[in-house]
Amino acid sequence: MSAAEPLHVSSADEGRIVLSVEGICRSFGPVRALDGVSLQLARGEVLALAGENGSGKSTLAKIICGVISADEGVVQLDGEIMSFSGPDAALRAGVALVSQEPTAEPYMTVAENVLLHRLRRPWAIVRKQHMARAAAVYLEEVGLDIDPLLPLGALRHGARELVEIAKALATEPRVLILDEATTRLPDPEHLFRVVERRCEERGMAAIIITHRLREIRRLSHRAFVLRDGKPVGELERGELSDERISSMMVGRELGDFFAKHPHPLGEVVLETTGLVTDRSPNPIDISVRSGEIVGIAGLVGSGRSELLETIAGCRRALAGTVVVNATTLRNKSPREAIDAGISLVPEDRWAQGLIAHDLIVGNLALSRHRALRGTDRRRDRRKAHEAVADYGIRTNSIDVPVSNLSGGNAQKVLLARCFDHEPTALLLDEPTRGVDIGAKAEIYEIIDRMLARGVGVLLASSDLMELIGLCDRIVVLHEGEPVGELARADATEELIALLSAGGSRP
Amino acid sequence: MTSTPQDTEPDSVLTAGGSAGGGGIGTTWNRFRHAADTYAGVGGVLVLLCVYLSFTQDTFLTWDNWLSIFEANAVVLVVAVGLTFVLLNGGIDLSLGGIIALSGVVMAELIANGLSAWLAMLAVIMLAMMCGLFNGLMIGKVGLSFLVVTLGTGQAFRGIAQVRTGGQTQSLFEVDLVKRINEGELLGISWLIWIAIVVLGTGIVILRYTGFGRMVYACGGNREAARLAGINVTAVAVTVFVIAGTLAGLASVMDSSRLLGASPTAATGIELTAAAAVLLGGTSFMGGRGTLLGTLLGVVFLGVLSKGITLAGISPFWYGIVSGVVLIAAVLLDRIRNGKATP
Repeated sequence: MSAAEPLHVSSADEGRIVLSVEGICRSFGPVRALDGVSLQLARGEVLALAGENGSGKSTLAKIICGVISADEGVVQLDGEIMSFSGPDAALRAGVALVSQEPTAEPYMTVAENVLLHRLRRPWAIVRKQHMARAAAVYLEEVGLDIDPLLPLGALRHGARELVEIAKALATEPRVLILDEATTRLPDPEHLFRVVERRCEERGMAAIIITHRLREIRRLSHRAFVLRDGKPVGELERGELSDERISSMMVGRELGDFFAKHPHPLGEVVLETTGLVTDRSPNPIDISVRSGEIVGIAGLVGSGRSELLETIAGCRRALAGTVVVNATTLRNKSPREAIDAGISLVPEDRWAQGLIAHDLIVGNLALSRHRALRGTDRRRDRRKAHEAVADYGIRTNSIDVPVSNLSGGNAQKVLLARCFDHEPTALLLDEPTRGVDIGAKAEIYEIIDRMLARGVGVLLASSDLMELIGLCDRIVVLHEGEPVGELARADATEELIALLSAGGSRP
Repeated sequence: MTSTPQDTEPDSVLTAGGSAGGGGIGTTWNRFRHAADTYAGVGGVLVLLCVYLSFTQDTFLTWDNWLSIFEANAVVLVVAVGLTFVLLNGGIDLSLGGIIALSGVVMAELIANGLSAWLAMLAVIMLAMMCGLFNGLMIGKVGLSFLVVTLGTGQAFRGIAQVRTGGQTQSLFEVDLVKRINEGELLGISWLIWIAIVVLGTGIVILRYTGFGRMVYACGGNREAARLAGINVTAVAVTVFVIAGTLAGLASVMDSSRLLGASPTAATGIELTAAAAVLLGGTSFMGGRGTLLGTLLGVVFLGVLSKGITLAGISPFWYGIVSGVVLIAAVLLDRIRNGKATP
């Protein structure tokens, strides 16, 4: 069947279940990413999968597409139980994924990118012209008028993302999953029309994952909401309002384990003026006073980490200044920022923070090294013992690799190291991600102690409860731009979620 | 139907070149430009070198001179073809010199023990294939680093060759087939060159026109994308090392025939010369990009450079300096071009 002749869905087929997912569970180490998720998808239906960062949406998408396997549960396609052994099997069965990460082959032609999944038999002869013609059908479907034999790398961004969509459509999927596929598209509306056309004319079912509530309302027939890996409910088309979706996504009660005490605010310790990062189109002005904690909220990709990294000199600022304790930073190197009194606790503690195989003592001494000075083993050991006691790092020795520690204890090592040179401005990026509840409380206590000592803190987090519980003020970012600042008294999870998703204040 | 009044397509297209629309001359030109980009670096330097040598050296532009350049580099070319597969897949094979030495020595030993030369040659090519398979399984299947594995096996293979011969060169002077390969000609071109041409041609066809060839590019360009598209990335990784090993076995037969002997110190460092040629030819060290025509250009460049230095009576030590500088310059040029291409 060629794509040119649409096959209209007969009324008998309408409403037949294509995909059925039952009791899916999946854990990563101690973290339960999905816990008993079941959902059904009918022919021609578009289902939105909604949830906060880390609620398990992408994990579910990957399981349905066979990219990762489930610990428990079954995936059924047209009533047939699928035990996907890998992406290959899922593609054959008719499930295609447009994933969050682009999967482009920049040096191969556009045609080869679109038809990459057809590269099955090693001995088959590849005919370029033939491929170009076959790919052109799908390129046309997504509205791309380009030479299919150009290398993909020659295309502009935006066009490349459309190629990703064409690539998924080229597998002639029965179920198409779009995982944040619109974030990099200049014109998502165009994509929606493409998807709708497929669904209506050929009965394809689609699952869309997006943080933009507007897109959920625009495209989906139904929304399925996940929270902490568990299903919390479904909303039919008529019930899809921004407020309903975001309150279901968040829907938790504030715990009272925040050790936050009000601290007297002092001088401004950190101030950015007109700071433009490579992620934010508009300048950002933020100031933090001594003893104050300012939150940065926003979705993944909203530029939270980029903002912190730019302030800390790890990324080049495109414009603007950073002033720390009345010193203006000049060449914007991490070294300069550290010397001026800034300390960054990076988002990914294993990739950016700690040296996993190195001992606790070694990690703690890391920022004390100077190229032309000797080390002081005695002092390093003494300080390591002090840090273990001070920060409540649970270990029986300072001579064990940090990789042996739990996430929470490793995070405490990182905090201790970042606080080693007594910074006046502390930048915390997701300080409690992947940390259990007990360690979380301890980390909040450590932050509180730092505030009491007059440090100014900038806290970026996707945990809204944490932001509201800890922060004096919260700045919300949406696609790199500050879209609102909320005082502690006004901040609610619903309001933050709404602003982060690009909604406007009611 | 979804047709709504505002359904007119937004004209937000599309290529970085700008003029690359639907078809016609623009299309061909764009494709040509992207293809030509690959060879611009080494091709330009090669042309300059050839022009300079043809003006300064009378003998340079003679048929015999070119035949001797190709004959001297036929072995390197065969090794470089195999190495191109490995580099395209995003690895490198440092064991090829070791495989060549071991294969040569085993071949001499088999012939000395009365096995017919044909069978001995076939047997050592199989042996080299097994060496490549071992590398491939350790790297692709077990997941060890290609640098460590091939560095180790390369030393081990050469070590075995040394142990078996006590370090002595084994003469193959008496062997009829070896002499025929050494001296034989077809249409005035030596067998060694013909073998290299056939290997190169086959390689080009495989890389350009077969599913496997495209898989090699796909895995090297973006392994995860290839995996998600259902390609067996492990099998591809193993196979490229098998190809490199097998061609090293063939290169060993050629080398032993050319030198009429097999030495455990044969082909020392040939994998680095071949790698330099492959990289000069525009293949990316990160994989996914490059062609065998580029590899041919790289080998020819190194051959012409070496010959030119001999002809001009310059100290051969200059060869290393010039080829090293040109290699860095070629990679630098590539980097600058790429820096411009991606916004």
